[in-house]
Amino acid sequence: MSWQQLDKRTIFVAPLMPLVSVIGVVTVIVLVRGWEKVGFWEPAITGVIAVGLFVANAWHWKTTRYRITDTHVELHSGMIVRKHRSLAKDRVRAVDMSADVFHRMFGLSVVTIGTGRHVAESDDELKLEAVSAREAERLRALLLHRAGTPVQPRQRDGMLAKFSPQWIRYAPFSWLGFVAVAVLGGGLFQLARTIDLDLWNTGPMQTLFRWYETTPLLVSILATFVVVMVLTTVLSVLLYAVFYWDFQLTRQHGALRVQYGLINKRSVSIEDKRLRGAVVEEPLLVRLTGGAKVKAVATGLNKKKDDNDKWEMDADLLLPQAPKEDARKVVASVLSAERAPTDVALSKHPFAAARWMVLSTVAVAAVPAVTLGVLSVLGLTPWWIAQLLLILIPLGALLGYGEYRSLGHGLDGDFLVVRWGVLPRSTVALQRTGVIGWKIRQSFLQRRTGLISVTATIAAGSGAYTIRYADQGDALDVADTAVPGLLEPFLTRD
Amino acid sequence: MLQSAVWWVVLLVGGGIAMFFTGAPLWLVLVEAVIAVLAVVDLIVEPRLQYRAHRWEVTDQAVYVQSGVLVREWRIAPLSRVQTVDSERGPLQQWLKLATVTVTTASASGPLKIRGLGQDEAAELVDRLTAITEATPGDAT
Repeated sequence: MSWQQLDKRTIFVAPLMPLVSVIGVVTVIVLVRGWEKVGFWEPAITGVIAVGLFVANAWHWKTTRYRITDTHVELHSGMIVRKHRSLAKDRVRAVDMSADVFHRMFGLSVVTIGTGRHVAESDDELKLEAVSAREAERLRALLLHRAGTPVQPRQRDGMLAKFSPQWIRYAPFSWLGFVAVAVLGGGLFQLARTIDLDLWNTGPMQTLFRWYETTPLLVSILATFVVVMVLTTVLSVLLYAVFYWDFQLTRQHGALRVQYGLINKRSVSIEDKRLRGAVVEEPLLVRLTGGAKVKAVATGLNKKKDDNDKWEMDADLLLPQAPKEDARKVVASVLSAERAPTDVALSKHPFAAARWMVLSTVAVAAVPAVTLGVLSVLGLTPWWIAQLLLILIPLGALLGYGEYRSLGHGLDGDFLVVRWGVLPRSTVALQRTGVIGWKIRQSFLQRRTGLISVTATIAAGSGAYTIRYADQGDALDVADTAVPGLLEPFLTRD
Repeated sequence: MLQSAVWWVVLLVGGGIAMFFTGAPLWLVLVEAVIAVLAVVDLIVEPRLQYRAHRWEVTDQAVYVQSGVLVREWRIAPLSRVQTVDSERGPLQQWLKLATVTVTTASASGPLKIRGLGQDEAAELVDRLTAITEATPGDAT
């Protein structure tokens, strides 16, 4: 097949995003400082940047070629240094698409073709920036839909989950809002510093300080709390809607496909045969309100850094925070099981485990109080800080007990199910055939109480899932049944 | 063992120099004594225990490694899922004619390590593992 070029429109579309931010900064500078202080250099630099971006992009478009042969995907690119990369077609594990506002306005899409190797190297990835949405769709179908993909009889095709505005209810119960507030605040100060504005001395800030000085402490604390809560709630709801709007989980030709986003569209494909299981995550508050989140355990979906050095978020997402009922359905249909394996009754761990978990969290929780206590004895800090930090100890005990309560493991048909943690509580269902080894640990003290930690290693997800502090005989039995024959020769029956 | 010996010698000599210059106050002597005891335990007792606890076995289906004294650890990997087999010899190991064999699977959760094998034995093991791994298709990715 002949070489193809990227979409021509990309020359004009790609620089738009950086340009908008440049223009934004310039506008802010002008607004704050006033026209008279703007010299010759600022507009000149902006102009040069703009022209430079267009030239660079035109050159990028001109020099980039790609083609798909019978066996390989090839990409030819380079401005000064010519680069040639090829990927064997049968090693392609993922074809992901993303598009920002401008890409969408012009019907373009950025396509990332990856092999999903566990050792994440950028060399294992081809990025086409950008092609038309139609071409992207064609590439996806061409690369992922291979002839002879065996279709499992029980597999459900078509739409598996669809966004419902009701899901937004669960948005305020996550960290999203707090993170957003922190980022916004940080960004504001950063901006203020760039344009030489002393934010602390501006009118609004001064009024705020005066208000804090004049109102009683209790009222001001309460007011701050309310304001922060309202802010985070509003922001998290907004962000949730922006991120996950029009969320769709579908299955076609033996591959799962996740699409979502209001402004930036994202599309992630996961081949069924790469799927090794699913995780249900329930952050404490979300769990209390009956929500859950589902992630895939699949080969080649490990978190990796993208071009901007940011962590690629949520490549394994199958369902954002949503009602538990939806999570259940998604898990069942994704894993092609009658009912969600993550919902089976799991065997409890012995009570001795609770002692260890409470003891370990209390020990950690006591560290700040003890440290501050020592500092107080030395007369470096006032006593009340150490006393206040004592609150952490019962909280730690509570957390430890909660962790114990959520421990569990079991087998359900073809799946090994493990549950652990409180913040969030995670329940993973792994295909038994996906387990590629065991790691068994027992400390001296665990041995005395008959406890054991059994880790199933797997070539997907986080690589290892551990049944922590389980009863010795029980856990080994489960491991032995999960993967018949592997552990057997090394076990002595009693 | 020799590697940690080097560290202990550095620590002890450093302490000795400090004692010489400060006129050896009591606490420094005590610290030095504790270090010396720890060194003896680390150099003479600990390796023996580790050696006794470190076991390995290769059957036709799986590799099995056991190690650790206080925290015991067993690792099992089926041969059909083995990706690479490496053997490694540091400068000290070469002198003592020893080798470490590392068996890696497709999982990210760490390889199996068989430490302190005789060189001939290690070479033989690597050959055998490679032969078996080549004979079994697939690596579970």
